Amino acid sequence: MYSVKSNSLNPNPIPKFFVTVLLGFTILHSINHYSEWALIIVISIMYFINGFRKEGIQNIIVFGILFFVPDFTILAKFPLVIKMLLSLLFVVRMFYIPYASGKFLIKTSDVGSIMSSMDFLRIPKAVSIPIAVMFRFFPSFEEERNNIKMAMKIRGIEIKNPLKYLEYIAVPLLIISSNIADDIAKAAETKCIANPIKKTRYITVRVHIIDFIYAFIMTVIVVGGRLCLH
Amino acid sequence: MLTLENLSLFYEQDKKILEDITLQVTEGECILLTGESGSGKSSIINSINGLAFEYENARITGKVQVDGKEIKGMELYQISLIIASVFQNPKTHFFNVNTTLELLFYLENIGLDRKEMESHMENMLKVFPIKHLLGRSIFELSGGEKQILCVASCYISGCKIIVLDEPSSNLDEKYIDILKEMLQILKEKGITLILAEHRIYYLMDVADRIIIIQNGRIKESFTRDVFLSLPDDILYEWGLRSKNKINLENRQRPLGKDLIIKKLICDFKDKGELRVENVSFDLGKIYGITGRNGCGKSSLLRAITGLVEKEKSDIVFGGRAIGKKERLKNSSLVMQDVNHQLFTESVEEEIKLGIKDLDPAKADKVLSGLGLMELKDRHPMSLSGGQKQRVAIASVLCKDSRFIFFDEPTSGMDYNNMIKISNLIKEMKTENNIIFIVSHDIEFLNVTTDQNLCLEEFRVYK
Amino acid sequence: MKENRLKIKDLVTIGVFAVIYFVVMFSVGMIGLIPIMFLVYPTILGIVSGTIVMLFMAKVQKPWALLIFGILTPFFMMVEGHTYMLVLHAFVVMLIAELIRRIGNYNSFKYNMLSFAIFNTWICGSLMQMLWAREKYIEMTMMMGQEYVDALVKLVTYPHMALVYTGAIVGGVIGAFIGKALLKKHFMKAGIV
Repeated sequence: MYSVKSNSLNPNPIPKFFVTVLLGFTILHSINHYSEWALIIVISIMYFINGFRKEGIQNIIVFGILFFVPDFTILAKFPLVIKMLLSLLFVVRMFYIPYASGKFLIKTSDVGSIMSSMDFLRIPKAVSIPIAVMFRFFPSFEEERNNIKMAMKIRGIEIKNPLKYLEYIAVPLLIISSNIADDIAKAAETKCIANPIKKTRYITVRVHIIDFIYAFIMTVIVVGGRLCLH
Repeated sequence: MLTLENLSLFYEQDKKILEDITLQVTEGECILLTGESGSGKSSIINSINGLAFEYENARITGKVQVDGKEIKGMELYQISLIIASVFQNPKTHFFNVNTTLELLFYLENIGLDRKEMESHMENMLKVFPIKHLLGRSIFELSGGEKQILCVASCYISGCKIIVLDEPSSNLDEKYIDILKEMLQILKEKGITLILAEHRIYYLMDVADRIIIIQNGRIKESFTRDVFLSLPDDILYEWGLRSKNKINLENRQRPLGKDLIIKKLICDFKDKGELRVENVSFDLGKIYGITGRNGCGKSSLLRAITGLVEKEKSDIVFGGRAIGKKERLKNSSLVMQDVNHQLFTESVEEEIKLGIKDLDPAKADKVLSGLGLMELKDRHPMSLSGGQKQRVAIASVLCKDSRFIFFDEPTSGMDYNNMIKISNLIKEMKTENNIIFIVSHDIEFLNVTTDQNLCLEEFRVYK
Repeated sequence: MKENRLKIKDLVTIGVFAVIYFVVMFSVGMIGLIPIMFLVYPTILGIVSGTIVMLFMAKVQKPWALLIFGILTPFFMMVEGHTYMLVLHAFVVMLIAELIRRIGNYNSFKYNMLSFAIFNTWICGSLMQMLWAREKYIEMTMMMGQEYVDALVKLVTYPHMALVYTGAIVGGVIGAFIGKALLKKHFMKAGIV
């Protein structure tokens, strides 16, 4: 009511996570090309029905480029150095499908629902609290990093000696981060985070049909794609 | 309901911070603890909410009791069920990214169900109309908005006691007024408030008792009426800021002849822009830059110093256009959090950093001028906050820049330290430099600057 | 015994340092994308990240802290498209690192250093993935010409991987010593450990 809209077309993080792990299999065990396309299209459809048009289109275009790159026979004639750089694209190509589904997970899930999903899966607090902190600290870390870079720029510190430069960044960054860690911990403690009773979550994991549909379709495509190869 | 009895507090190696503090707080009372920095007022707050034991490795003797229960043996979460806390720096003191979830976090942790949470929330919204802050990312809020959220989340928790550790030190005038209103409402609701502050003017209608802390002891205790009748000189002697609201002086638009900003635009995307046009400054003067939280003071400062990659500006110095790179070369900055700008292992190394062929005689002169000579070999990060700031100032003085910038140099400073830094800055002034101070500390600006630039009039909101 | 439990403060520290480690790993990782360079990537990562992990170990001297800290990065990498094998591999590595730390009672430099050296080999898992998925990669690179494929096949082999692991351990040891030096030079004086 007061925060993130709950959408019956947006699966909760659990099936999204399941699909991401499942697609990890396709790196080690190849599946049929048509199935690969099917996976990508399903993800794009999911983006579309949740109102992420740009991401949906981008997803198809990027995969399209990566898919067809290895088919350009002309590549064989390029000098070795360029080949090596191009082979980077192959690595990206290999990891793209699970990456696309992971990106879908991150883009369309809010931290609150990720946290309640972890509760739902009985992930122990010793793991769920650090993960919550990571989401919280990441933007702060970027801010602090920029502030320090700014300070270095105005002090005229240059990257002449990379090791020295790293030391200069590391000192304030790690000290400030340690201080922020203490502050976050204090904020959490004064809000009773260590209270041993059973906690509740404002954002609960809601199970919709879309959760099953998404997980089921993706599983069928992967299994089907695997079987078709044999 | 809250009793401190013969409370003493020590850090490691028996360093005594508090000595023999005895204080009775009745229900619904508002107590203001004040005194200079390092007097121990924050330590009293931290002994009440229990953070001193867990986080500062402090040990105490004497009693801290709430409704007859001893705090010392309790776990932090048990204390937090009775006492809520607001901290000095709202930037770091939150756990969630989403504002709504941050407000409800306490309620989640005490196991309320969704319905009850919503009714608490509705209740709170009736008291504090902050619906516009809900459902947003904490990182989009200004410092003032964050502090409002912290106070609101204390109210929503239903705790009968709230302790606040210098809640105003990062706020501008407007948000201090809002904070004051919120505190008044909390007091009407019968909530006991205990504040540590040295900026006290905004509390003069709220506080019932004012307690002066000096060197870890209670020096004096006044009722509000008696305190209001005290002359200002005595307050300054105790390191306190003025008890009256002060207005900014010298606020006409600066018109000088040396540094001319013909046009400078800071773009804030969907939040509008800052469009500074036809402002000019003289060498040998100190200028204050003020404006509300979030109006773009820091962005302007970054743009003038030439730290922003993409910016549109037309700036002239000494009759010719001066580009980004040249401005960067001629600028120095003392940041609000000086921890960002200390890189090396000793004070001496620190002031040499980034300057080619620094004359040792000059370095020594700067160091002794700032009282840093004995600290020459210490690690900058091991110094106190004020000393760190002076190290940063020393490095600025050695660089001999034309344009010197200070970003909020006095946030959280008591009167004496504020005057010290003010004098320091005035001594830095020469015929060859221009000093800019971004600040919302009006008392400080009035005693330091020659002229003030108010950014409000240049800010365009969408 | 109660003192040894991970408290909120420790869990927050784990999260904060995991972010720092993740960002550093990622920035250094850019070079790991280039073939050949990815063979020395684990070594470089060890050297660069040693300070972060050694500082972390100095701050949290309790059981399981390193295991949780170490598993978070591979876990997030899995969400970003790596295989489950990376996480399993890291889990085994972290268990060993955790055990070594336990022998040293969590505060001995010697054992913490060894522990970090082992810890640092988790990143080899991302290369092992390539080995396990070799067929697929080769099939794709066919267009690059036989000569290139041959070179690649020769490069990514188990014996070479053993070298990479050794490199990771050596990098870890160097990183740990740098970390120790910086700890003494800066962080102890600054009072954050």
